[in-house]
This record gives sequence, C-alpha cells and structure tokens, in this order.
Amino acid sequence: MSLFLKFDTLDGAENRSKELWVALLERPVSPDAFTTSLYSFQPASEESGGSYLIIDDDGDLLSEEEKLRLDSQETYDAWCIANTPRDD
Amino acid sequence: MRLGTQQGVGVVTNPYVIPPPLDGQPSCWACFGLRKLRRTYTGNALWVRRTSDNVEVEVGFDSSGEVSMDSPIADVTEFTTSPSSSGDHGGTATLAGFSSSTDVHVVKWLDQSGNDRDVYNTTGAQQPKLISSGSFVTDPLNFDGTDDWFTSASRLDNSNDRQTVLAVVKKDTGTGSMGLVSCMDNWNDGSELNAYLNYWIYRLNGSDLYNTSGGVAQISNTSKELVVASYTPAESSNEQKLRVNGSLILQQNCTENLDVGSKFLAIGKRLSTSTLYEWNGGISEVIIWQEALTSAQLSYVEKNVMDHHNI
Repeated sequence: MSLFLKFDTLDGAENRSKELWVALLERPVSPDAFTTSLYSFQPASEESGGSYLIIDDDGDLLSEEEKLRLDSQETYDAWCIANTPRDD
Repeated sequence: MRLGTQQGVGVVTNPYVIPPPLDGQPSCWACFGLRKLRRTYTGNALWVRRTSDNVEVEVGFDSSGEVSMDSPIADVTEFTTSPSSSGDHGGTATLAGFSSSTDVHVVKWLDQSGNDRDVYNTTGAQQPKLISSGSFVTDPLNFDGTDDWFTSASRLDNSNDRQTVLAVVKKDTGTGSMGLVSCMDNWNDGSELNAYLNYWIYRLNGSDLYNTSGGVAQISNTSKELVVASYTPAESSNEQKLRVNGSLILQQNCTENLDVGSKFLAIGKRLSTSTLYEWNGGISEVIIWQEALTSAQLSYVEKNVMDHHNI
C-alpha cells in the first residue's frame, strides 16, 4: 500500500524525490550514475494542481512533518481524476 | 542459469542455438531483449543497479548471446572519461558476482537496433526488476504493476504510418488498463499496444482494435505470449491487425495517420504523463519496426521468437 505526499508546485515532488535519493545513498550521486531520484512523482496537468510524491515503502526517510501530512490512496485517486489525464 | 527457454543447456559450441531473430530481416526502429537480437550488435544488453549499494553497471551477453549470470559486466563509463570513478563492483566480472544475494533493477534497456533509442527510468522505485535476492525473477523483466516503466528520448516518425510492434510478455493477473508499448500524444493520437480488461487492444489514433467477448483476444495470466500489432496502410482492407502466438486474432479496416505529437516511446505504461496504467508482469522482448513486414518476414521472426521462448 503506497502513501502519498502532496506538494504545491509542479516540480515539488520531483525535487523532494531527488533529495531523498541522496539521503538514501548517504553520498552524492555519482556523475556516472543514471538513477537520480527515489520515489515516483506525479505532476498535475496545470500549475495549480501541484504534484504528488508516491511512497511505496515505509517512508523512513521522510521528515516528521511530512509523515504527518501523508494522504491516503483515496485522496490521491481523487486528485488524479481532477488533475491528470485518464481514459479507461 | 540462462534466461529464456534454454535454461540448463549451458554454454554450447555453437554460440546461437537459435539465431538472433533480426538477422536478415528488415531493419527495425528499435529493439530490446535479454538475448542478442542482431548478430552484428556489439553493445551491451542492460544498464542495471543493485540495491545493496546502488552501484550501477552495464551487463553484456554471455558466450551464447544471452543475458545470464555468466554475463560480463562493465563499469558505467558513458558519462565520464574516468572509468575507475564510476563505482566499485568489487572486482566481480560477471552478473552473478555483481548481484551476489541482492536485488538488481534495470536502469536502461539498451536498444540493439543501432539507432540509440534506449529506454530508461531515472527513478529507483520505477525501475523493473531483473534479479531478486541473487536469482533471476520469473519472466524478466518484471514490471510491478504499480509504477515500473521505461521512457525514452525517441518518438515514432509521424511521416511514416507503417508499423509492426512485437512483444514477448507474461502478464500477471489484473483487469485494469496496462500499457505495454506506447507512443501517444493523448488518448486519441499516437499508437499503443496494451491490456484492457485482460484483453489485447491495439489503438492507432483512436482506431481501437479489440474484442472483449469470446475470449479470442484474452490474455493469458499463466503463460508467456508473443503479441504482434501491425498497421499496413498499403493494404486495401484490414490494415490493422493483432496476432498472438503466431496466429491472427483480430483485424479491421483502418485509414488513420499516425500522430504521436511530441511524446516519446514508453514501455510498460500507456501514457507518459500519468502514473496510471503500468504493466503488471514480465516483458522479455520488444521489437518495433516502422515498416510493414511481409508475411514471410513476420512468420520467420515469430517462429524464431516462439522457439526461443518455448511459446
């Protein structure tokens, strides 16, 4: 079961994912390495929709403040319907 | 252990028990596999990351032209002039030594066509799995159905409507929409081959070829399948076709013109702008032509692929 962290900007989730990758490595990203971020992220179609970080583990690297504002799958699904392209 | 169907055969004198499928066939637009798909291809198969320390290396083919635990590995040097700085893989020269007992994910699936159309993912959580706890996963590459997929920096050429898309997969259970191979600007522009309600669907600019009744296009959740989607605008009817395991299963008239807009090829997802619709299961081989193969050419490739994968 994934957890979801909302950001107000389109690139907020992506930037945090990159920070968390460095935190996981406990070293700078090698200039040769291709992997640069830890978690999936989903920007909205419009700036006002912000973005979501999708955490598929226990989220140990998140700050306490971030852990307190994690959203549920239902909240994320509703955001996706409103902010990302869908076609079933 | 070798991947594919020849497990246990071991290294043989003839390097190719089954020859690469694209030898002597029309040049493809891009192709990805866990075996050599063209004898003249001299590059590696994969760029991988192990989870124990997140070191990345390239993986080559073994002496039989396959990705196996005997595959040689090489430091990633693509972005540096100093190979020794690219990470320490402990002097291990094979994939077995590199992977040890850890998990290994695929960072890049290297294009063997010679056109440099590699597919990749820079996010660790989205990289399909090759090895789990030191052993190959069942039906690699394994896409987790949650967020694993590959993107690319290449898009199909809108000036050429012809296409043939071939994939070897083992889909796991699940009835949602799951992207296999797509290059779509939006839901009605571009091309995609995917699973819908556990049935094959081939969409070309909104011309949907599928049948969710009768079972003819139902996807197996227990066996590997070879699926081929083709569009041959030069034909006078039934230009759009779907074939599974060497047999034609669906066809219909189609006069669409390909329009992928500015979007790029994706493997394992329907639309690159959404985190939805990821593939759940294995994808072992993908070959894309912007050509309409003749019946003889397609039959040859299909037989080769099915022989190799024991389909």
